[in-house]
Amino acid sequence: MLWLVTTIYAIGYLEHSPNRSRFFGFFSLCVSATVGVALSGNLLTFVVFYEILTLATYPLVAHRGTPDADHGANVYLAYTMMGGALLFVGAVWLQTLVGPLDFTQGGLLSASPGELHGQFVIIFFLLIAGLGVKAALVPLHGWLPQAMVAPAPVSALLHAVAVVKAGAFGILRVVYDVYGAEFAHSLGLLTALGVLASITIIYGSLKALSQDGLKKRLAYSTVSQVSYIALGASVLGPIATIGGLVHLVHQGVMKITLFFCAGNYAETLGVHKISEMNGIGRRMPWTTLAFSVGALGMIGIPPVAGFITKWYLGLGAAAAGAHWVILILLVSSLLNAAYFLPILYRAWFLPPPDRWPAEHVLSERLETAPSLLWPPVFTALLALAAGLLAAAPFSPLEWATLIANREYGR
Amino acid sequence: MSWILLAAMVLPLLLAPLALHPALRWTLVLAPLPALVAVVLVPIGVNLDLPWLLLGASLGLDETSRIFLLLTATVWILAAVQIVERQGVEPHAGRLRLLFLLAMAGNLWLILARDPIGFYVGFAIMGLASYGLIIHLGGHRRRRAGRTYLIMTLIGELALFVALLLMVQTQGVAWSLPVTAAPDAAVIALLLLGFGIKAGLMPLHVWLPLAYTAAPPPAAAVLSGAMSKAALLGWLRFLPLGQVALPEWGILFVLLGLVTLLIALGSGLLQSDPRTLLAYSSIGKAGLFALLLGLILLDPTLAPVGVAALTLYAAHHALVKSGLFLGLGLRDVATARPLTRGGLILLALAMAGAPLTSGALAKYRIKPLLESPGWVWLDLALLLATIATGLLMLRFVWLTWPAPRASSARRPGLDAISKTPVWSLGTWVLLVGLVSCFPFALGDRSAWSTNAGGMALALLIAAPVMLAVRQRAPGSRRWFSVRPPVDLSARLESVLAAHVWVGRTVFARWVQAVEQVRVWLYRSAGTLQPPPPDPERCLRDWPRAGLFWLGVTVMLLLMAAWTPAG
Repeated sequence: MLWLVTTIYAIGYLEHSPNRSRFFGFFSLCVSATVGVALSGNLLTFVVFYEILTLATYPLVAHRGTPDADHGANVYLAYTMMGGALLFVGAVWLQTLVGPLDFTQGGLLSASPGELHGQFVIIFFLLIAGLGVKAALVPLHGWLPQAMVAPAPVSALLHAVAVVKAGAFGILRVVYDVYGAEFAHSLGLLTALGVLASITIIYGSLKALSQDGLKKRLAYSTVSQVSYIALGASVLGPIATIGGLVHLVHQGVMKITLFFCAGNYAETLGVHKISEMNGIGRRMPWTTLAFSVGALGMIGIPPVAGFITKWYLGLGAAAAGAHWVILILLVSSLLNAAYFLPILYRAWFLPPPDRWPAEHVLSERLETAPSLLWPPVFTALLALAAGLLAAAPFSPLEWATLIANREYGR
Repeated sequence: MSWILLAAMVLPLLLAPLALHPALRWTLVLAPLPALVAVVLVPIGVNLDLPWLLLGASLGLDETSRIFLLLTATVWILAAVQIVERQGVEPHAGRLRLLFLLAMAGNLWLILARDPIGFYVGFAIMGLASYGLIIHLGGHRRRRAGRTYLIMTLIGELALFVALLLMVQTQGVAWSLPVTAAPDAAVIALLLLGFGIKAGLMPLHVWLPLAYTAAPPPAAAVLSGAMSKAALLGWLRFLPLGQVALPEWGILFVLLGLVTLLIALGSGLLQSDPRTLLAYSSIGKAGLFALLLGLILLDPTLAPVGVAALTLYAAHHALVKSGLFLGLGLRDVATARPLTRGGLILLALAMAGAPLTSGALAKYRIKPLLESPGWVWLDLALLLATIATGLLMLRFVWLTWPAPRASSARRPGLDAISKTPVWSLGTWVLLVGLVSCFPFALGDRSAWSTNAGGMALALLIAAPVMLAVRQRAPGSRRWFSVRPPVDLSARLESVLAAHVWVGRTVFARWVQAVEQVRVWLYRSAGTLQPPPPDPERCLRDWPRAGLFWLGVTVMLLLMAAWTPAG
């Protein structure tokens, strides 16, 4: 079971392996921390690696050394350290109550005596608050866009995927392997988590709508999309669980594509703002094609991977009778369309400007350097394949289904 | 043989990147061919399961979908010929061809799909790709049309998405298509909304006149001929027709359809752009389809006859309407003007349902449906609609008779491609011929004289008007000064814009407030604890470092002592 989760999670972050070499030192530290997070078999180990991840990513955020980057990194550190502290307190408290916290399929708390339940509720919120910082649940999301502005594309991308995913993964762990979905539901905790996730989804989308910076818009889109995972965890039933788990991978693949593309635009043409993207599809067709696939997937347009997530989340919500979740999905889809489609329209249908802000000719034949071009094209193909071939063996969906079925004991 | 089904769906997708290149533009015409082959060769009931595709897709044909496939593929081929020949080497023509093929693939997929997800995927691809067809020629008006279209389409797709979710929820995952789900109020309402937008049912029609006017003629032909039929197919597929009587929903469909029919015909008469006029005619036909569906919902025993009649009517309408749009696209060819005029008149007659045309046959076939409830007011309303349709088509002929103003002269590339678009004209004449043969091949003699009374009345009303205009009778100039009324969409647009503006302002205020709180927090945090000038040096002081070291050692020892052995 454990290595299955690990494989899914590994896929989620191995997408960033096509990377520029100067970051590799920091990057490998992060990777080992992330592997640690994924491999850890109990809550305390998880907390330790989670903290290491925080520290290992700090230099990445501050990499450029500009005041902006410093500020972003400081904010990031302040947020995540506090989150880590909360998580630590929660984990220790829980350990003192019930002893060693090995992750167990179906949860390990449901057997404990009833008088502890009140404390469990408090601990749950401590844990979720700690993890929610990294997963960027709404009142705690402030660091993400700030950390997104300053640094180079690659570290920005780590943040969209590795760090944020560590938070989301932690939430899944706490809900499924510490508390157990049914037990958490009986305490009313899942509903609270769902409401929190819904607020995050809507609020993140609204914020994204008002951004002009491409990376900022993507950052707020991350805030919104990662909460799909929490939303999937908060709806009781295997189908919604599949939706949440599979989004862990799908969102990673799609968002990494978008960030690669944003990086390409910045490196090749000096384009950082959406308002500068007119006609960019003609200058950089392949990058923009990859961007389009990612953006359409985020909206949930079939047959890109995002549709599979949306379908399972909706189906799970319908099965659990939670119709408000479907409503959230609808509103979120509309908002996603409202902030992604105008970009695509600009890129494909408007005439390009006479000259770009800062154009570098990085390649004679291709639109940009090959090492910049292939990663987004590859991940876009992956995103497309994950949706189009969702029912094929070894797709993310299949793993997610397997895990969800074990959680609900089938 | 069943692999042809897959080829029919995949070939347009495979050709899409190739068609980007101007030299390979003719591949556009090849794309719908496998679908036509499938119509001929693949027997009904053959299934092609593709368990690896999406969540397990399946393709197949049944009687209804076979007719839809035939007419859809025909319309796409004709439009493709005209796009290749008339929109050959203009700038962005590659983009147009790519999106054209994507929309085609979606349309064919949704017809072939036997699983609800496949249907939805095709529907969504088709809807989104058509956006590019509508705004292709650029300009403010087209952008507005495209925006309206896109918003409405997204809403429609989401409604369909939820409807499918709820149906899959009740039917189970193994649900395949000819079986319809048990009726459920929410599902039917969502289907009415989702497909009503695509078909152009009032009051969801606002995008349609804008889009049909904005799109290039071949694109308008596929929008009206092929894509809007997808909505009808969706209704036929997902509504519980012929299972139970749903009187409330039936009445709702009938009333909505009737209102749409009459208002659309009335609005159409006031238009002075032939494309807009045809758009309103399409809306009217969507109303008629909804009306017929409502009648079937009222009385499930009508379903077998009714569905067949509806399919026939859809085939007639798809061919004739796309023929009209394609004919509009050929109107600027000076050498062939008598031909296009004659063809357009023939098609307009068929659209109006004049005796001896396909329209009359289609009308004849749906008669048992219309007479089933025995409502006199319905008969009267339909007579009125027949007369109005006749007048509408007369007005269409009147509008299209004069040679078009040289609006296409600003595109100099056009003449360079081909002086006379032989292929477009040839295929179009074939289509006109097909439509003219339609009643003689399929109907019996008793069908030929349908609608004679209504047409005679229409002529009776229109003849004096034409005469008066022709002879410049006093007061006849007023015909020219009638301005087209503002459609609902213009009002709605300003209301929506106001809502969005208020929402934006409120949200901006909120963001501002949050920002202020944050600044205040940072400032107060700054005043509480001014950071030491160099925190690291403080840590390197010997006393502190020693203290830390001791602390860590004690902690480690404690932990070692506390942890149970093993």
